Amino acid sequence: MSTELEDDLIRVLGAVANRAPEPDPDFAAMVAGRRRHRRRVRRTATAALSALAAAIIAIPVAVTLHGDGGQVGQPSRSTIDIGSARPAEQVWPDAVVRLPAALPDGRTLHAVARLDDDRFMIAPTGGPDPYSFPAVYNARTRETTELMTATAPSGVSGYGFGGVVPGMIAGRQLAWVAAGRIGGSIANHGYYEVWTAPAAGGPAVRRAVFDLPGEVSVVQPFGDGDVLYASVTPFGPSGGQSRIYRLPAGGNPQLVPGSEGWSSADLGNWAAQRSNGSEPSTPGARIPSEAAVSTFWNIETGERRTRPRLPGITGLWCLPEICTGTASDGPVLYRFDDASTFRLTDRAPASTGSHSPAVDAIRFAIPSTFGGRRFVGMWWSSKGVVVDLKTGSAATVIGFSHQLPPLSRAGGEQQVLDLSRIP
Amino acid sequence: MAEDFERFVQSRAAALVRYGFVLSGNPHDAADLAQEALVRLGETWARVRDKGDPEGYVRTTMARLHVNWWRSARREYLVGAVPDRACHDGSIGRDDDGLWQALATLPPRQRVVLVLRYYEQYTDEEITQVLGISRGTVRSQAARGLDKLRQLRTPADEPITRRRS
Repeated sequence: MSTELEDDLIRVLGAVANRAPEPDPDFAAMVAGRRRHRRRVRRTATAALSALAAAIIAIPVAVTLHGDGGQVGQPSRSTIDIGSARPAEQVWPDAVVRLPAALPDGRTLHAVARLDDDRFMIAPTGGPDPYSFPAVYNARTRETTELMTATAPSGVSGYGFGGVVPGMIAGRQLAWVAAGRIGGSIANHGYYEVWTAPAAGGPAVRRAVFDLPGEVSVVQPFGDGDVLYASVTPFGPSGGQSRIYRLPAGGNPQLVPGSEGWSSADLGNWAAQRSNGSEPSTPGARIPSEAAVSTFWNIETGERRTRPRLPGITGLWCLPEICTGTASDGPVLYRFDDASTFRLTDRAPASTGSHSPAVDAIRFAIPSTFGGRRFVGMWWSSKGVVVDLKTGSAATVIGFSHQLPPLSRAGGEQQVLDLSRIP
Repeated sequence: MAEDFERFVQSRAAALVRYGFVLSGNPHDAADLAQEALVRLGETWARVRDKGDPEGYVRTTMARLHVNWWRSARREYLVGAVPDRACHDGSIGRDDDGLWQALATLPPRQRVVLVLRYYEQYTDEEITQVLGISRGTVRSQAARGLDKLRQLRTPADEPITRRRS
């Protein structure tokens, strides 16, 4: 059910588009000119980098890297050339999974995670219900098992699928959010339910209900395995601090003592402390100041982790295990666990526009269930790239979907990348 | 193959510039976004064309570029302030003009989420794919943007600056 404002938005945006100025008559020639310029710059840069690479190899690492209070050394230990990353289906062909693009009922099949050799958790779209709930698809039998078909509670409108909990998929439970609104407006009164189901199969169970009158918030479940938490982050005029709840099976949500000001860090059981007014935890959210998000807290184990000082690194953004930013010689990734640094390069400078080829966002860091591997997904000059930090390999994808980044979709079939199958 | 690409550019230029205008609110940025996205498409034309959706590739690139360019280089356009460069088209209508100007005050990601949802008619799941953000963030960005628009909307004859004081 849409509101008057939403209806007006649809109408006004359509009217604006109809009255947009026509492109310059030389538009196509301008595009061609930019392409020629790009090729010239690329040829010049390649020649310069070839000479520079020979010099860098001869320079030893002068600074030891530390986990706390240490300093990122220059030059970095490893260099990963993002610009020459090939499509993932070429780099890791054994990890490519082929699935149908759509279910028999016509809904688009979006693969979220692999549960076993045959079954996948999916988030279908395009059906009569714009917010249909996740399901399990068996690629061998081509059968689909709906995880839930709940009806909206009384007074709740727009009730439907509100997102999947990535970390829970790595454990024995699947978890997702059902969301709606009370009062007929998205911004007025949020209603959230957290549901789980055994990954091996079994009925879905509603674990928690967050009914937040008078407060506009985002509820974000997180966890790694059997334990489930949820951070509640208010925004809007009412303000207030974020906080975290533990969601026991069969019980009410329990506020975690001392969690005021903390929210999900989008990795396992980790929470992050955010400065006032910043956005809820979001993969890729840029933190404007170095002071923000410097401390992480594992809610389950109690471990606290402070990222090291990283002087000279701007545009810093961190997960509990890895930071990205820009050093004097370009973008870098820095790992906490072994203090290794990766310098990211692109032999093909992206453009002469107002942006630079840099890491736009770290999309995910996969937990250690994949044999201790660490993968980082990022947008690099608007192309998706997955980096294997164990080998330094990089490959392009067309998007990110939790553990199964999509690679292609055509002719009724899609290909996704199964990170757990990368050799 | 080069002719293929050029035909695509010629045939889709107007539609992409219109989309860029809705995204950015500015005719110069609209053209810049469209041209830059097409240049990038040109570099991977064969592969994208074979996958069957070059238009989707370009539109996705434009949405991401718009968000990234604002984040890295255009901080002079303050959140909450009406940019001087915002395009004013009186022919849209007095009531609609207030909403169009209010959209110009939104942070880029909120604006892009609303454009993708209400102009491109994408589902939230599709928006997560385009922008590479979580579903929760799509909803929160949309909610914040709508909340802000609701506050800024005024009778057509009351200017935004007077209202804000």
